[in-house]
Amino acid sequence: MTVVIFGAIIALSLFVAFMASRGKDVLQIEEYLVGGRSFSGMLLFFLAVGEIYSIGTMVGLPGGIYAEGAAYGVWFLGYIVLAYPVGYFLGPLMWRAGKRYGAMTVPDVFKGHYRSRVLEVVAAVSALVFLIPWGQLQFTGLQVALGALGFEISPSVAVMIAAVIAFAYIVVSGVRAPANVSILKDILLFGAIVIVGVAAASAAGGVGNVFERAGEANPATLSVGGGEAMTFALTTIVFQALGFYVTPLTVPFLFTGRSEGTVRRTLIPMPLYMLMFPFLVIAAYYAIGASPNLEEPNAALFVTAVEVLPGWLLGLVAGAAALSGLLVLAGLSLVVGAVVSRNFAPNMPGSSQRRLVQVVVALYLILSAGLTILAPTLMLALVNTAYYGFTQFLPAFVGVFFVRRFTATGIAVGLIVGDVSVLALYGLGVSLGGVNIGLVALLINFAVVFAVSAATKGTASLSPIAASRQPGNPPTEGSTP
Amino acid sequence: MRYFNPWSVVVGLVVPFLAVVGGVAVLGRSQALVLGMPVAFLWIFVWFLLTSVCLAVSWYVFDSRYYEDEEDDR
Repeated sequence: MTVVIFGAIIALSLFVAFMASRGKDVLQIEEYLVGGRSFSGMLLFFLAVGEIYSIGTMVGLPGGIYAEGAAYGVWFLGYIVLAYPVGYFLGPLMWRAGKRYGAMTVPDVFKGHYRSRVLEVVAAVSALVFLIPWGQLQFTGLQVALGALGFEISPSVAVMIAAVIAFAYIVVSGVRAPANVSILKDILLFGAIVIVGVAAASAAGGVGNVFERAGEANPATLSVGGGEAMTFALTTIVFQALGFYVTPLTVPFLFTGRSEGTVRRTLIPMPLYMLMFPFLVIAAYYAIGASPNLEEPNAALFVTAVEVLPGWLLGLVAGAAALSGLLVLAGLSLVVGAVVSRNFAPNMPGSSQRRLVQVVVALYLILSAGLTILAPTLMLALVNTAYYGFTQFLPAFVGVFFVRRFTATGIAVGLIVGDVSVLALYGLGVSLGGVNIGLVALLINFAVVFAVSAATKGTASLSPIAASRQPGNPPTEGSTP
Repeated sequence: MRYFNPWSVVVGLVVPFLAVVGGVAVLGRSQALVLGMPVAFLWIFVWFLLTSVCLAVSWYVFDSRYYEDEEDDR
């Protein structure tokens, strides 16, 4: 029964993906990559939420809480909820910059604004270094989920099937596929997590019992604690909230919105989707009390699910987990495909660009599936540093939005220094009293951008995006530019 | 008409940041359970709701006027 429900969900998602582009001209590269900048607020909401909450939501967060308790869960949830206010103020400017420069990737924005091929390539490399391991994270998560839920399928086969499905989503309909599959996925994910949380609470005889039992097993899990743990939590919340809406993974999906106001309005209800997290936290704490000494902490949510749910509901949980991984894999490979074909091989006509995107997507999926099977721990360090690295784009966007005197050279040098600082601080295991190392690298990055910009001359006077807005969509009569 | 209305920034950005960061700093040390939950978690859960409320206030009171020339697509 579990397998039947699971199979039906995957089949339905493929059907939705293939139907997504009906009546649309996906031969146009802008249509293929950013949906012709035409998505309604509703579709943008589902796509954005769909791409934010990956398999990591069901694997990494419960695993982190199981291992570290509130010291992990509080910063994780704190930075996401604060990312939305940041997005409310920066996201519309992002859309405006995308529209003005015809951008479909993050490096496209810098190319359009700073008019520098060097900066475009530096940004593209920087994005790819941290994007490539993200796919492996999804594959590994899928393995954990399906294994813990009792699917008797070899991990390698599971990874290969997942790669094929993710490719199938993208190949026909481009970004419209993840957008439409997101509707199914977002509803399933919310539902599955609420069901597991409610079942866990009732199995324990109330929410209070869940946390009391966890506290008896390990009282430290009930608080963040003081000292370095607290410093890490606070600095990480601020750092990652600032970085969330400048990552190469979130920006292209904002471009799909049909107008600047649509992007802004769509951010308002997004924190409400997080109301699934209390149920996830309950399920994770249930595992602390009921299943201590798990070999694989990342399986905490699924261990709880197996304990408290009947088989057919496990199929639903498995379906939600699989769609979360597949959807992010699909969106991610589209982003990688876009960066490679637009920013490394520029000046291609739109139709061959689309063909190249499809080839790169296939190669990327094969590469990360292969790495997951053959070298599962190889890219772990890069996954851990991905967020530190993504946020180093912040100074470049601050320049695009607000600051006239940042130069392309300054931004490029700052970005390189920021990325290298992150990798060095992480690799050397430098301890800064709990302060998030990404935040330290970001401050260095900003300092370098200021210093180098002051020492170099810009190519032209760059008009900041926030300074002017084109009339709305469609243009109103009599409005002056 | 400015993109950044100062009051909108206070309501939509400053208030949620102070509340969440400040709340974690103050409540994160406690192991107390309130309504059955660790109090820092409860505080963040409440702000899932209140952050949306803050953004809605920013939009309806201050920022929606900025986009009056756009077609309504709801």
